[in-house]
Amino acid sequence: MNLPPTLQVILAAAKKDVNRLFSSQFSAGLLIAGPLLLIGLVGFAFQSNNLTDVTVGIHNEIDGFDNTIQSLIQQNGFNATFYDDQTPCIDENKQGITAACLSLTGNQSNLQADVYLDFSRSQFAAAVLGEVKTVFDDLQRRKLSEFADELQSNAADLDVQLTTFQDELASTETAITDMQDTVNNVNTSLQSANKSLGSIPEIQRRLNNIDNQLNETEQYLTQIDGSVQDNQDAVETQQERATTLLDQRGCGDSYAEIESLTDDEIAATLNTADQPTCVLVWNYKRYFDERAATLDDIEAGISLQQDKINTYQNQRENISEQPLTALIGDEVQQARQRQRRIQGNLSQGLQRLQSGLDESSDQLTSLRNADLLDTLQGADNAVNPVNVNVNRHDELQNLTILDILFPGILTTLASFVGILVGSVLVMKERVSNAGFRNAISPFPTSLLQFSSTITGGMISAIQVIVVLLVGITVFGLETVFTVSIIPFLIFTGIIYTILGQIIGRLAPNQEVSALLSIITAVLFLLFSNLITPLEKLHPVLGDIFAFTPFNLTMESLRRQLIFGEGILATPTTSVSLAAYLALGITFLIYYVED
Amino acid sequence: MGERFHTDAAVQVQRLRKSFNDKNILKNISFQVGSSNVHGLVGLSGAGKTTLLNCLVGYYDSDGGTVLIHGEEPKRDIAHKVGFTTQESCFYADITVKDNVKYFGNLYSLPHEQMLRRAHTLLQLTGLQDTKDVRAGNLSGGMQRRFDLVLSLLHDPDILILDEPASGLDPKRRHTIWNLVRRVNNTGVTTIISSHLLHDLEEICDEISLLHKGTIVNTDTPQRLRDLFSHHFRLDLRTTPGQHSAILDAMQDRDIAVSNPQRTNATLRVEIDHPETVVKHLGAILDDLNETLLDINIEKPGLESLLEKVS
Repeated sequence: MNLPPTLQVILAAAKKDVNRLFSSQFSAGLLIAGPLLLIGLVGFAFQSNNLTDVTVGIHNEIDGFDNTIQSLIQQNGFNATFYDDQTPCIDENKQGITAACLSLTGNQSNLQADVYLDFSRSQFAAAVLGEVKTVFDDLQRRKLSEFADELQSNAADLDVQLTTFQDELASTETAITDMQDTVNNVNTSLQSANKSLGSIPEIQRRLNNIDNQLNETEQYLTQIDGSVQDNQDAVETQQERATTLLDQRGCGDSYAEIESLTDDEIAATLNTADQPTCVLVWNYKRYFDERAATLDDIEAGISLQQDKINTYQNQRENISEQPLTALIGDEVQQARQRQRRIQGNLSQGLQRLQSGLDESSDQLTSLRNADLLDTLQGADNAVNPVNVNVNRHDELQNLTILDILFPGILTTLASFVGILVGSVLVMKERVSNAGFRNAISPFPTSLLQFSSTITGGMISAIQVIVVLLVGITVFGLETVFTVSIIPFLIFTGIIYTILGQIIGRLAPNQEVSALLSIITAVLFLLFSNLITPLEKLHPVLGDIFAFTPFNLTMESLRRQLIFGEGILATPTTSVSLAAYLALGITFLIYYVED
Repeated sequence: MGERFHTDAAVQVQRLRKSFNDKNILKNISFQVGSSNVHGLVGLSGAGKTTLLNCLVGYYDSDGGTVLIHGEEPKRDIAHKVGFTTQESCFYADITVKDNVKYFGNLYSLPHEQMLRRAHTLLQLTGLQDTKDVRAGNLSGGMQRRFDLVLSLLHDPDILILDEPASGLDPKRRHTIWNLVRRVNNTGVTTIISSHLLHDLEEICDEISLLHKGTIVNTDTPQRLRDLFSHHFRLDLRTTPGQHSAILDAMQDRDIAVSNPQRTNATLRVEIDHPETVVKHLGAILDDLNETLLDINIEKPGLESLLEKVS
């Protein structure tokens, strides 16, 4: 196979592929205008960090601070809108009406500043945050100045306050002496309580005696009560018998008056009565009536005594529920604990006070001897204990966000165009009947495939170069453009085209091929430093993703465009990309020829 | 078209075998095609015609047997000698006729000027000279078949292989294609045509191979194949009121040997050995039966009938 015919075939196939890609005006327009539109939009979005006239919402709760913060905001090129409440300030930031919401609370000496930003507008929010920081830097400087003034004015009052403090300390010492006296009194009381504890066994013994007596009395009363009851039963029987007899004899009420007569009178009546039996019975009855009354009296007396005993027993039971010894013992115990605690506290308090006195005395001496000017000079360090300076590399001094993002944008363009063109060319070839005529031609199919690879790589590279040139000429990008970048762009374009061709080969149909191509390109983009900081991933994943063609390309372009280094300055990147190219070509040759 | 010399067989196929997924598509195929001849391949759908042609041009590797093109195996260096037109148009539909010509011309390493001259000649020959700037996919069906033929002949091949070249075309366009094939063949290009349009092949082919279930049943001239497979004539008779049974009885009464009677609507079809006896007695038979003749046709069966018998 001679080189010229082979080259002729490669060029013819490349031309054919270009013709096919540009066969419709729409696809041609899209291929040409798409990237330019992309760079136009990106350039418009990032061409400058100028945030002049951006409105910042302010919610200020600090009296008399409105003018200060407004002047600081305006001094930094912002417009200010004030809110009475924090909620509308935050809400309008979410709605995009304001770029940020600054909420100031506390007081002038202890200022709390909260910044609310809508980070869903990430790039814009980041830019605003950077600018807002300058406002707070100004505020910090102003606060520092005020702090120094305040320190100076307060220094004169410090000596007076120190003298007063010493007087107060002396008074405290007197108060401590008084407290010690109190403790001594508590000790005396405790000793007295201890003596009282000695009489407790005698009291207990007496209580026991009372208990025994109460029991004995109760038993005696019970016995009496039983005898009275028996007598009452017998009397009642007799009373009933008398009543029965009166009825049987037909006595009626005759002779009933004898109940109020003396014995003699009754005897007389008995002798004269027509119904002497009646008199007898009436008298009989009277006797038992009187006896019954006597028994009732006795029973009432017993009941009274019983009540008293019960009262005594209740009182005794109350005493039993809380033994005196325990009650008195607990009180004594608690009193002792209180005593120890008071003594301990007093002791510690005295030590602390003494220590505080010594320390205060030292500080007072130190303050009196200190140079106030030195203190004031160190105030900056007191307010800002860490002094942070953020420095850009020399090469980055004048770069805008667009300059910094541009390697990523170019890589995105190269990967999307390369992968899509690669897969489209393969699918076009697969669905075309012309494939058979290619297959029976004198040249191997892999050569024609390689020609398509070159075509895709060239198209990708041309698009990227056009975008790069437009970026430099129209948007004034501060990039280091050298001719040597062109072969690199072709080289990477070929890699992405091969990837697209592999997708086109593996996909079952055109729809799946297009979808897979887009997904692959998007995945590359997502797992790139442009979107996901690789440092945030698991170290192993981070290392793996660092070697995707996308990240390798972006890293190499970053070194070339921003730092002006050659492709050989990053040998690992170059070798890795070359390995991808070799793998891809090998795959295509074997896959296509099979 | 360059001058060609009639040498030995242009294509020789011996014991060719090919199978897909353990299914034998071609079973010991053997035939040869004389130089500058037109050779037909006839077979029912699935007989293996396209597979055989793909093996001839080396698109498929055979499982056994040999294929020799001018005495050589069909490797890539033989591609210059063979032109192939598939069943479907084999070019890029989304670019112009001119771009297709340039691409495929370069694929065969034709010098630019020579390619342009030959393309011009072929486009004129096929009547496509005014379509250079037309997107190939926008050509009509007949034009696309002709353009496919142009691309197959672009590199001036010695052998032209056509797989169903007139498939899907109306009779007029088929006629155009066959005329082109004849004109190409007249320049000395050996031609192999696969087609199911048997009547057309009978007219154009020097020899025809009958392919059935992966095997060549027979290879001969169209006339001898007809003679070989049929001694009968076929009579189609349409009368009114159409007393077909009575007509058949009357034929037998007059010793006219008929066989395979078939009734299709108003037409009676029979096979006869001696058509002259029918001509002799037909009028009397119809008159006796008061039948009025509407249409009559008598002919020897074509290759379609042969294939029907073979299948």
